[in-house]
Amino acid sequence: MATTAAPLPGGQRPNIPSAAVHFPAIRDYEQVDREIAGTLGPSLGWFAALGVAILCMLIGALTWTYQIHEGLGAAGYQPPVMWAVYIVTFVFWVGIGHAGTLISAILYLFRAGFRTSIYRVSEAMTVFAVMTAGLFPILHLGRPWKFFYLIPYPNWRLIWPNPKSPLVWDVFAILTYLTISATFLYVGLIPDLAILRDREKNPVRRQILAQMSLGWRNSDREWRHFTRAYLFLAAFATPLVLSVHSVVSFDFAMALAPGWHATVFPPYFVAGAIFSGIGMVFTIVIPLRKVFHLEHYITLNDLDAAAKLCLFTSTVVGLAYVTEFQIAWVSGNRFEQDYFWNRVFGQWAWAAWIMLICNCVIPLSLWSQKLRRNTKWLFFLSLTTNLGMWFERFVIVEPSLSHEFEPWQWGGYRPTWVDYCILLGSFGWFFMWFLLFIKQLPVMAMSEIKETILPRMRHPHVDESQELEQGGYANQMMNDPPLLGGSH
Amino acid sequence: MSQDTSPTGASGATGVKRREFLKVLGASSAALAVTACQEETGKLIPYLVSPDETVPGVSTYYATTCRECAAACGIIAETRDGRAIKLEGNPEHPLNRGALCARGQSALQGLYNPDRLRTPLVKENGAWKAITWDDAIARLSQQIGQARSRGAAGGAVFINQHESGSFPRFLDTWLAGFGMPPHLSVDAEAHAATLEANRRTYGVAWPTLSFSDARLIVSFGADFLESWGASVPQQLDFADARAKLDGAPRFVYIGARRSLTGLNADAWLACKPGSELAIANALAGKGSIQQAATESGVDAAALQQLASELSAAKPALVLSGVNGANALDVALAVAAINQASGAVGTTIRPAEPITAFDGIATTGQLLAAVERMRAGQVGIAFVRGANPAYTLPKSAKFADAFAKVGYRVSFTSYPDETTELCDLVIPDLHSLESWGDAAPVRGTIGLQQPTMDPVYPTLSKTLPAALGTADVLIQAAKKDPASAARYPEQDYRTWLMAGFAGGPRGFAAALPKGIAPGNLAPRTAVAAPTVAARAAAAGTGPFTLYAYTSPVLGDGRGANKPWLQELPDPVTKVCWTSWVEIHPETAQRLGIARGDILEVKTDSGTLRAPAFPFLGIHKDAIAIPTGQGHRASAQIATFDWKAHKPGDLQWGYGRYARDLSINVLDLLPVATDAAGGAVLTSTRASITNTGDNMVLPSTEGSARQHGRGIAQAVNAADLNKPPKEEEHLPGDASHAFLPGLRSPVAADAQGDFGAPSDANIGKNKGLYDPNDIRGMAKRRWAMTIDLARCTGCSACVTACYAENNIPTVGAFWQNATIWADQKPGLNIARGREMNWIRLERYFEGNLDGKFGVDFETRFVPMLCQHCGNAPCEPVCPVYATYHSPDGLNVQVYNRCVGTRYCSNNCPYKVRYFNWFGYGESDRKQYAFPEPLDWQLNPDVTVRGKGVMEKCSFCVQRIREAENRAALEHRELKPDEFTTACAQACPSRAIVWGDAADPNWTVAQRAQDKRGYHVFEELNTFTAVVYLKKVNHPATGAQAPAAD
Amino acid sequence: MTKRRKWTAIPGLLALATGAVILSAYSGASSSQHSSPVQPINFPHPVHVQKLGMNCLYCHNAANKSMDPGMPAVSTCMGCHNLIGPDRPATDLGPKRHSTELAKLYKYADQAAVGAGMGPNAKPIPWVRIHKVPEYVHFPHTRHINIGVTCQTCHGQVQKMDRVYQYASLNMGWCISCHVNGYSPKEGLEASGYAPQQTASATLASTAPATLATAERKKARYDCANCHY
Repeated sequence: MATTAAPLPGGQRPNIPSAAVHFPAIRDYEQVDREIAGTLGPSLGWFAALGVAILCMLIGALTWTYQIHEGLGAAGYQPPVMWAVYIVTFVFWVGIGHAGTLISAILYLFRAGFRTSIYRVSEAMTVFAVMTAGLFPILHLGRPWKFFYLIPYPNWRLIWPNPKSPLVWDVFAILTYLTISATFLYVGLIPDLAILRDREKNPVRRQILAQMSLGWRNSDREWRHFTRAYLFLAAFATPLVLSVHSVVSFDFAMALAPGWHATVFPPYFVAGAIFSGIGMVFTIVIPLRKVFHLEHYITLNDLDAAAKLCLFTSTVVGLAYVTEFQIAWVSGNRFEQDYFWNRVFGQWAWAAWIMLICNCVIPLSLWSQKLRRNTKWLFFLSLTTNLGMWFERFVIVEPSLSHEFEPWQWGGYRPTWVDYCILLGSFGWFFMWFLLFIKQLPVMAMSEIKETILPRMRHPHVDESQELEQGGYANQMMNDPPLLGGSH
Repeated sequence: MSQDTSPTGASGATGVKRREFLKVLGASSAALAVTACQEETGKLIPYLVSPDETVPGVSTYYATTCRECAAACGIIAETRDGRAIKLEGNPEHPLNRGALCARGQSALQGLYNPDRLRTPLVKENGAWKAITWDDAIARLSQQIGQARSRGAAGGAVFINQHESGSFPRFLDTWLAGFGMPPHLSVDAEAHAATLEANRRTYGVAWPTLSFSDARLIVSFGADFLESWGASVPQQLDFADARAKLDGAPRFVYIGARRSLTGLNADAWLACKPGSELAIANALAGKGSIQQAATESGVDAAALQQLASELSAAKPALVLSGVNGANALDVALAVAAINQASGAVGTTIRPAEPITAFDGIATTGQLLAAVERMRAGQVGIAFVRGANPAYTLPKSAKFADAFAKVGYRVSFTSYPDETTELCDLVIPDLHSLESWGDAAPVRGTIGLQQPTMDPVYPTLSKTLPAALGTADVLIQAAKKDPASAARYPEQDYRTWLMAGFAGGPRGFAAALPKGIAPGNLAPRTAVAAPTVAARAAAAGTGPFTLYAYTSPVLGDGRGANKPWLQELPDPVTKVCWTSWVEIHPETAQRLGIARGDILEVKTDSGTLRAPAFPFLGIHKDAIAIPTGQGHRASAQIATFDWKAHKPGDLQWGYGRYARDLSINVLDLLPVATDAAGGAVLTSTRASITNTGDNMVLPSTEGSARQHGRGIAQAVNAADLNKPPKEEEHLPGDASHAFLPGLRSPVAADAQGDFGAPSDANIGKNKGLYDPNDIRGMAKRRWAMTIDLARCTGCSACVTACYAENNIPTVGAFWQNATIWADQKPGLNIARGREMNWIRLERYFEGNLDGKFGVDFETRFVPMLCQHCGNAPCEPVCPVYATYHSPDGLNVQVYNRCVGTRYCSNNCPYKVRYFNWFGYGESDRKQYAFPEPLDWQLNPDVTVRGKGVMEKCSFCVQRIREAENRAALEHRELKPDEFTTACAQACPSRAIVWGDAADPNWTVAQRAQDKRGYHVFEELNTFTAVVYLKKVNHPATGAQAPAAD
Repeated sequence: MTKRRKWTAIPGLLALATGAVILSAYSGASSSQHSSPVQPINFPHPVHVQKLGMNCLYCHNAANKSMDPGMPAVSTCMGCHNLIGPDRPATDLGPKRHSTELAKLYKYADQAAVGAGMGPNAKPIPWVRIHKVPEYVHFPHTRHINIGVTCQTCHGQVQKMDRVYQYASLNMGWCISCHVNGYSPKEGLEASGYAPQQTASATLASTAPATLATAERKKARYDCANCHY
């Protein structure tokens, strides 16, 4: 499983102000089990949060019912703007879904230590985000009750979906991605489920957990198969990170509309997806570690490393924006030029500048280490990132459609309450699942955390109040005379 | 066909049952077709006695006469299973030669108007009560009897909507029979000054005008393409003139407002309202150019040049349609010019007059009658069709005067303003349900016959099912012992046929063609009291209020027809409301933006309407169209058609017209010119910006082409120059122009169209090659649109609505229910109009805030281009749009799931989405409330909500023709049939057919050197070829860049 | 261990199966085939067609010239039944008997007695529709009849049905397969249930029986816009 970067000579680790750390934050397996399993089980605040989420979800559901009954015109579509908030939000959620697999699969293959503490959360986030995204293609249909026309299956009409259409590619891409990431999440969970099973008193829950853990017995043979399977899945999921959002970007790149018809889209979309995904990880993890008191698991080092990734992707996205303009400029294509001018200095300037500031300007602050390690700033930044990335998709969809080839059909767009309610509903749906998740299943891979603890450590006399936020497992080693001394 | 086999004759006895049967069909054809999956199998209701001519599912055609305006064009009504479903021009008819305007098309929505009065009504102490027909006729004759006994008969007034033919004569004799004076035959759209001037100068009310023989056309505000005279024939002839290309006459328009006609002119002299006389005199040589220039504010050089052109170009055609106080003087001056230039006999032919306008009573005469009412001298008054309460200025106080009349009878099927003031209402038959005749031109009689049983028959045991006004009058006369003897005929039809030269047999023989040679006996000469001009103080204000007759709604009678409400005004592209046209410069100065609600104030009244900045209006004038602003006397609660019960009275001219915007006439004083015509353009007005704003329900996006070459033009001089290389966007390969057949079919059958060598041209036809192994189809359906002919009249749009069951979406209750502001036209303002073919109106010149008069207008009918390489096709995930082997880009409604990707990918934006259940009879947004759904074309699916739709090149007509050909074991004949738009086009600009077969006209037209494809550089290989517009700049002057 | 793993898979498989079933059911695989509603008058096709040898087109008179086959007007029925009343006297055809169905017909036609003719309050007969394609399908009977497709190919041997039922599924696949593979006059003839020499009269085959048997399959266009517009 995940390995730990070896400490530098002299016990120093990069980016850690040499705060005097007296006691290791995590000392033994039992503590890991206790603390992480301790986060499970409902609390009052949790019920309140879940209530809010479900309420939002219901608002969205009711609005959708109304829209189906009334017709799609209930939403704010203004031809020629035939795609709007729904498609924007669809791409947004698919993008969110990318960080999970990136962190759990790619960083796993790259042996990046900081993933260990956050990958379970982000992987769950991925699954729920894709579940949310998957709603929108159906939700934006004129006749959602006919969605199954897009699914290839033997039928009495003797006709099939159109393999040339990017929308059909979407169906496959999204479903594949959902399947793989769900499997990946589940497989990773198995050992932890076994732990929970062993700690469970209630026979019914115990029985359920037993089923879910597939009767995991922690034997070497099981571990050997497990690691192989996990490695295989990681390798399998990695290309998906790139493929899925490339396919989503084809929805636009394959079309004729100025601003859509560009080859830069696939890499541009993937980078944007990772950027937004990391943003969402921050949005979730920072409150989580506070509420669950997991500061010593999800350390500032981890956040710091993630922030660097965030900074990097933001610059990639920025480059993509510039490239788009440059292409329009050198192409000499009148439609393209008119469109880009209108996007940034014309009727859509407000949206375009929200996008540019949130995605390209604010993240530059992450060059500073202080801000990278400042959770409050990171949290704020994650919010602006989400906003900016939503608007990136908005700026891709609306201005193109409203300013195409035919001047007589140029138009504008204003959403109605229906669009807003369904947008709200999607967040309610997402957080409902997420909240249910964090109280049923461990938000952190206990077994992996344990791997980072050197065995046979005993600290009977330590009082836990002295645990410090900073540091983490690495400090234990230099503060552990027996180990350094090598004798007992 | 013999009279006995006409629909009335065939099923007179069983009309009621037929109606039940039809209702069922109506319901099923309007059924929610697209979303029907396994819908319950309904009932099959057969005929009771099958009429001899009709085969179920096969159309029968009846030739009859259009009565939507005075011109009385010939029409052919297509009826299916006993219902009229489509009107088309009668090719045999000398007046309209097969063309038909938008208003004529929508006669059907008058016939099936859901707010038609179903039964006679009587007002008893203020409340309306439905009565039987027998009762109604009894009351009528009783009232007449009383009037006569009171000696009030002599003072009786009968106001009739003007129509030519035998009915006026019949009416006069009937009135005379009761000692009543002849009736007033009014028409608010008629141009009294021109009629008067014509009578004085040429001795006829309306000579035939020959545009194609003119070398120069000058129009003083005469909107001969819209509301002035018989627009359809004039348009046909004008288009023919323009089709001469470099030989075509130059057209100069003089007036304060550049109307649709003005926009078709090569030059516009924007003169101060009322100053036309000075210019006319100057051109006639009666005044100095210089003085005319100062008086009219027109550049002297331009006038000078016009004068020289006028002297050079013989014959010229000078027309006057001024509506100012001095209208008659202008008309006479213009007539003088024509006489001087020798136009009489060449371009103006009094020898072959248009007789449709003979005997129109002027507004002056009507006002005189109103004064008599006010003086209490009128014991009984009748109104038929006309609506003086609306068409007279409010300041005429018609209602008060009318109230002083002893008894008021209305013969009208529509709940209009005048009818609401009456005591007894006897619904009239629609012209498509009744017998009649017309005198369109000298030497020809137009015949009018019922195309179907009445929608609302008299459910009476003693009376016939169909009872028109004339029949009612006969019935009333029969009840009167004194006059009964004079009417041996049992109904008007018999009377008509008896009076027909050749008798009933001759009449029946002529019916199939709809016309007969000869002239009708003229109406007994009416000693029309020539009324002196009624001057009115112009009042004060910085602007002149320029009221003009709406090209679409006419004098307001079109307002209750959703097709016309939805049809964008050809000039402003605004629908479902009135507007105030104001010059952009003035608007800029006063800080007025498009859609700002202006308060327009004159001495006669104050009204509020949205502003529309328009280049084509004089800086010192504001223009407002007529037609809107119908009101019920009592405020009626917000209308919801689902709560509405059939038979509910929809006063205020029905649900579609009531409370929409303003009636400009409320701003005008009572004034008539010397000829007795209403003065519309001589009132001063002031405007204030109220600060509120509305999004105008307009189909216009950007009025500029931004150099995208959608509407291309060429100067006449350059026509024969060698064609210069087509300008292409940088980076786009310029390829040889290959009309029609260049287009490959679906991507999988295209072969190599990427770089066709010259050898391939015309050879590599892909699927169109009859010998191609893949090719089932030999045909490539294609279209050419000649922009030199197109005048932008928009008749094609309404024709398309009628043919393809296109829903109208602008009514205020057709928005989403909750929290949606219920504004008329809101869906249009949101760009959700469904017009499969639309008229784009692009301005050229006057860019960069210059507001000169020198701008050019180009009209482009834009419809699905049926691309051979269609961007919409590959992106549809379910093959709901695909390419048929005969070159159609097909939309399959029942397969469509509504991703709308096709529309996103369509460069022409000609795909339209069903945002609501416009076609679902249980929805609030339903566009065809009964009996409007009787008009639905059974061959075309009614679309449910959530599916995409678009122009189908009238595929149902193609299939029908193919079926017919197969039945007769033959191939399709060239030009055997065409699409609805091409059929209706009064300019003959649209030609449609098989481009793969050189015998079709379209195949030849597509080779024209003016031809081009829109957005050719996108490699869509469209099937629509546009032919460049031809400009005629003044010699030496430079026309706007032709891009 | 192994045991457990096996049956943990079962629920998943079940879910998949139900999903597939529901989807195929929902997607219109179902059809009103074989439905046979009760008609207002139990019209005996066998008697009219087989016994009296009437042609389909006598009553469904528009089938060869219109999209719509047409239902007989009441007057058409009464053309014969004006003289053939509910109460049949004893003749050599058979004993005296009373026909309730004809009585119903007389009620609809508002006819008092044999030979009296239709009355003023006659009503059309509300036949219950059996063969119905959705409104968005345009099926031209004329094309099919005139190419020689026997009525029975799609409607079954109505001449043998005491109560007419929906013979074919009328699903789109059913239409397509014939357009793609082509219509075989031979099979059509067999389907009609008539011997060749009768065929011409009974099913209006445009070609002679002899050639019918040998003629090759007639294919037809099958792109969507053929029927959907």
